[in-house]
Order: sequence, then structure tokens, then C-alpha cells
Amino acid sequence: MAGSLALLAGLAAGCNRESIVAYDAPKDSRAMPPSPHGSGGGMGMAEQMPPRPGMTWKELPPGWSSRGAAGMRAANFTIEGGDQGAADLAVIPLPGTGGSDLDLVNLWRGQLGLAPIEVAQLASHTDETSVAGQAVKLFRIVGSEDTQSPGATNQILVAALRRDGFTWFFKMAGPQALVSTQTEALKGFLGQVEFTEAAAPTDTGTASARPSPDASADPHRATPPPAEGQSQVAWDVPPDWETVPPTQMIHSKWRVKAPSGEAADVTVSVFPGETGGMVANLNRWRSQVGLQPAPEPEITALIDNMDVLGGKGTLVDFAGSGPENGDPLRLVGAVVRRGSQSWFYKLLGPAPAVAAHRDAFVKFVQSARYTRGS
Amino acid sequence: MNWIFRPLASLKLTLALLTLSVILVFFGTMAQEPLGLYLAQSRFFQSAFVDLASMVAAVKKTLQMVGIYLPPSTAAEVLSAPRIPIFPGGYLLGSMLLVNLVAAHFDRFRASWKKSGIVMVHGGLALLLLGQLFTDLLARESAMRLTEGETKSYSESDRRSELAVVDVSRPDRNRVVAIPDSLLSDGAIHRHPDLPFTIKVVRYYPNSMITNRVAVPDAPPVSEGPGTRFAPIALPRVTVMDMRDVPSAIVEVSGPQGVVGSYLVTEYIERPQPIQIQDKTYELSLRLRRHYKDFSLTLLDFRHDKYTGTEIPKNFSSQVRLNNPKTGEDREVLIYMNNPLRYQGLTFYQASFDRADDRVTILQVVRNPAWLTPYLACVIVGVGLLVQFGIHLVGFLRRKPGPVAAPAAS
Repeated sequence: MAGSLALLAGLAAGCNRESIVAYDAPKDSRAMPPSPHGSGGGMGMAEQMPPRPGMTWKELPPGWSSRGAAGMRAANFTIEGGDQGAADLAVIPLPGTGGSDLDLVNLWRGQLGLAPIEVAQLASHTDETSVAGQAVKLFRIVGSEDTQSPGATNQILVAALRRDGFTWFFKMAGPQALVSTQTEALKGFLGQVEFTEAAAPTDTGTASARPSPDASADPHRATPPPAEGQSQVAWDVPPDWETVPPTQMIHSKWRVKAPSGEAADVTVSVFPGETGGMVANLNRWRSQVGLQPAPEPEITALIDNMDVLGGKGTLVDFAGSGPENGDPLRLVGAVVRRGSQSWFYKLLGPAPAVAAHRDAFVKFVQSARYTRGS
Repeated sequence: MNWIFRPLASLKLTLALLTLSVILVFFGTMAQEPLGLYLAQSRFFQSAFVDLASMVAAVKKTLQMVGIYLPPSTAAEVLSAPRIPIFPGGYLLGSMLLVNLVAAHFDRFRASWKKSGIVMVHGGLALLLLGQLFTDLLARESAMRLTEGETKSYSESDRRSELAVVDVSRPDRNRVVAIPDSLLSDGAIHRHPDLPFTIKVVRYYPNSMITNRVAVPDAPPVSEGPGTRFAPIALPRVTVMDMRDVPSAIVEVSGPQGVVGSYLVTEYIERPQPIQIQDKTYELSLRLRRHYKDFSLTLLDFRHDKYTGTEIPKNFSSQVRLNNPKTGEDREVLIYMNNPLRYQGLTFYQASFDRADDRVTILQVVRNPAWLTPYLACVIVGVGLLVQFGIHLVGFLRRKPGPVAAPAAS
């Protein structure tokens, strides 16, 4: 009998202990059936998200402007408040996630540097509204007063809608003086939102978190012919640049070498919208060569304008050191806005290799000829 | 041997175990509201002991129902609390009941055809208990999501994940090394003979959302892929029925020459991230746990009929092509409600559909090697009862009728 018990206990315990498994599997059938919803263009992260519905709205409140979809965001809006500054409204659908209302409020309070609250205090931060006819709670989080710069207090207004396995966050953030005047405008906007099946994002009243896959971003995927509206570009590539298969989120990639043999990489990416803004993107580049983020005035001072076909581009040159080994690293980057898309060009590698190819890189960026959909 | 069997066969023990089982079921049910179905099942019924935090959550809920309000426990609190055993759990009570039953049988068993029905009833009950244990341990539910025209040879877990490293260099098949989410934790280092590199989990987020990296300055750095642009934010774990955790991790890959790169892996990034090492290409992804089959299903047509003028579903059906290269089978099957496909020990039920895309079907895939045991146990118990009552009935009918007292005269 004791043996039976031991056997049962062992069986139960053994099944709870998982281990790494290895097995052969057939190749994935990566060629997905064509989407009936058209193409969205762009290679943002949104295309890699699980499928989800889109949303539409009738008209925007005064002072609001749409900035289209970008990254995780199904829609982006800027609210101009004149002397009161500007606020952002981001619409972010996330699959399956969620916590309790208290968890979410405390998460956002943390973003404003505030201490968590208890459940009994939640009601004083909560208002009622509706999205697409469904009642939701509207949470208001006001940052603490900055004694160094009075009037710089920030405020977050968030509505969280749980629908069809997704949690849609409508999050407005900005100066309190502006955001506090936008509560009714936000409620009015939420009231007219409607959800649809996935649709191509535009700036005229529809957005979707599901642009069609851009197979050219991944050499391991089946490559369909370019879809209508998909971004295309042609460059004059220097003959000594070696083509390398592009990886995640990269449109094209080359390897360049210094006479001493050190190699640097040239990469080109394209994203819909401004993808977080110029300052954020340039600071991201700075971090790649071990530099600290710089405030906007300092970043602006580091920017050079460059002539590109049909307009101006932004050129930066950051020299630093590798975050891991301290070797001298240099990054020459260019950002070119074409229509609703941002093209990011980057030459990154050991300083000698980058110096040897800087001029060729600038000419390469200037040679870009953007066509359909770009 | 009696000194062993006698205490284990005690009827008092049976009563105690049944009483404890009733209490367990009661509090396990109460705990489902604060903890969610899956966590409550796991902590009360699929454990040898119930832990203190789970029991406190159940007691608080019970008190709330009788008007005594205490701040309810959350699933996140229970998950983070130390597991202090305080009450026997389902595994222990079930095992003890089985032992009690078998011991009682041996203790009181006397070879006699008159007891044959009782033996069968006991055998059936033992089979029922064992069958439920094996179902609990061996049954596996997963889901297969198919878009019309798509072919798949695997189903995916509903809520468990794995860090998959797939060698895609071979022309015919992929070699998969899958690290289950239960082994992913901050600082964990994983090696496998099939991998020429090690994977260090820099940080693991059991539930997360993703945002722009600049908004999360304290996120560990990532050198490759989308993680250079995006970073995870930790969210509290969720255990309610209609939600699930979406994990993320930042991992560092190191080969013989040193660090190859660091990556953000998350279900939010559907496309695997390539790693080039030793002339081979590996693809890295954090995905729902996959269960591969020897055969594939292709969704030919998905029908979702509604009652006219309403959104009320009338019928779902999935026309699939089943292809098994090993057996040469290649046939079409129609799966609809109450008409599942049973094949190779698996049952494919028409479970759901994608509200955002009417070309997508979701099949529930159930593998339960012990599925026959409850049916068999019920038949054995039923036959045993019939035999036992039959024996008594025959004995009763064979008895000679005794003298009947005459009614007293008034």
C-alpha cells in the first residue's frame, strides 16, 4: 500500500517537472492565405501582432489631429493646446492582457512617479463613459506637482475596453492644464468609435492594428509579389557593399569593410508614421553607441539637414563606444520622411569602417528614389 | 498483515476522507471567484496540499457571502505567496480514498460468490478514482487555429508558452528545441546538445505589455531585432477564464566566440528572430506551446451560420482535409458541433471562431488516453450492483414463506 502511495506521489510529482524537449518538426507553411482586407504597407511591429479588429471614428474634436498607426498603436492623435502645450492620445489594442482596474491604475501611476493606491481609493480616480456603446471606466491620474517648475504637472486619462479577447487602451497623456480640459472631448470621441474587421490604416478616420504582412522583411518567408500600395525604393548601391539578407524589421542590409578589414553594417528600415518622434529615435541610436539620451534642444543641435530627392532629410553622426566592450563605435544615421512613412538609414560599426564609408553612405541615401506608396 | 490493513481500512477513515473532500470541494469552489478557475483547480484539486494563501482567499470569499467583508485576495498575491501546506489537496485525498478502498477490500475480503457484486463495485470505484487521476495527469487540451487555405500539423496550448529555438538550416525538416515557460526565470541559463549556444534569460515577464523602449528606461538592453525599439512592461498575472498572460523575455545568446546578441522575445512579435551561427540559421521565438502531430489538417471551408437577422450562432462547421504521409491517408472531413473528428487518440471539436475574421476556425484538440475509464468504471459498478442485488433477490425469493399470523378478531 505504501508502495502504491509512493507510486502515485511520484507520478504526480514527475508530471509537474518539465524539461527542455527537442524534436523534428515539418517546415512551417509560412505562405499565409491572402488577406481580404488589402495592404497596409509599412513594416512596423503592428504587422507582427496577432490579428485584431480595427476601429473607425466619425470626426475629431477641435484641436485634434490624427497621426495614423505606428508600432503597437492602432491610432495616434495629437491634441494641440496652444500655450498649454500638446498632448498625445494613443490607441493600443493588446491581446488577452489585462489586470484588475487597480493593477492598471497603479501601473500608470508608476509611470508618473506616484505611489500605488488601495482599492478603496480607486473610485475617486474613476469616471464613467462608453466606447462603441459599451460602458467603460475612465481613469484619471494626475502627477505630483513639480516644485522646480510649477505648471509642469502631467496627467493621464485612460479608458480600458475589454472586447473580443483584446484590451483596448485609449490613453491621453500630456500637461495637466491641457488634458484636464479634454475630458469631455475624449468622452465624445470614444462615444463615436466603432470597431470593424481589420482595415488598412489611413489618416482619414480608420485605423487597424493589422496591416498585411510584408514578406520582404524576412528572407525565410515566402515572398509574394509587391502588393498595391506597398513601399518600394531604388538606390545606387556602391559596388563594394556586400548584400546581406535582412533580418527582423529591416528592409535591406549591406556589409561594408574598412581597408583594415573591420566591417560595419548599413541597414534601411521603414516604418509608418513618426514611430515615437525624432528625438526618441535619435536617442535610441545614441544608446547603440553607448551615449546617454540627450534632451531635445541638444539633439536638435546635433542634427544636420541633407538634400535628398524631393526634399530634405535628417543626418546625424554619433561617436561613442560599444556598451559591452568599450571599443570605439560610430553611427551615421539618416531619417527621410516620405508621405506617411519614415525611412531610417544607418551605418553602424567600428569607427574606422564607418569613417571609410561615410561619404558613400550619404550619397547612397541621397540616391534613393521612392515610388508607389512611399 | 492485518496490523497494516486494519487502520487503513477503517470506516472512520473513509468518513473522515469524505468529509475532508466535501470541505475541499466547497472551498475550491469558493476560491474560483478570486483566483479564477485554472488557479483554483491547480491549488485545490491538482495538488497534494492546499496552500495557506489559496485557502485564505477561499475563506475570505466565504465570509463575504455571509456579510463579513475582508479585502479579497488577488491571484497575483496568491501566486507570489510562499506555498505553506494547510489542508489536504485533491491528489492526497483521492489517493487516500483509493488506498482506503483497496485496504478495506483486502481486510474484509472473503472468497465467496455472494460477495462478487461488492467486489465488482469496489473494482469499479477504484478504476474511477485511478481514471480521474490519469486523466488529470495525462489529458492535454490544446487548440488549432486555421485560416481557410492554411495547413497545420500542430495545435497550440491555450495558455502555456515556450521559448522555441528552431534550426531551419535543414532542407526537409526543422529541429526544434523548446524550453517550457516554467523553466524561464531571471538569470536562468539553458543549454542543450542540439544547440551550439547557451541562452541566458536576462529578465522574464510572466505577463506583459509592450511599449516604445524609450518609455522604459530601466529595461535590460537588447542588441538585435525589434527589442532595440520596443521593451516590455511587467503586468500582474491574470488567471480569470477569458484572459491569459502574455509573457515576454529578454534573452542573451552566447556562442563559442562570446555573446552573439540579446533579444526581446514575446508573443507580440509573431515572426521568429533569426540567429546566424556556425553557418546555420536558428529562429528564436516565444510562442504558445506547440504539440506536433504526424498528420496535417488543411482548412478548406469554414461556415458560420447565424439565425436570420440575428448574431445568434446557428451552426459552425469546418471542412478540413486530413493528410497523413505515413499512412497515405488523404481525405476530407466535416467537423461541426457535436460531430468531432477522432483520429489517432485525438479529438478535434469545433470550438470557436475568430470574430474579426470569418475565414478562421478554432478547433479544440483533446488528447485523453484515459477517456474510457469513467465509462468502463460506471459499467462495472452498475453490473456489480445488479449482481449483488440479484443475489439478494434470488435468495429472498427462494426463502420459504413463514406462517402468516391471522388477524385478530374484533
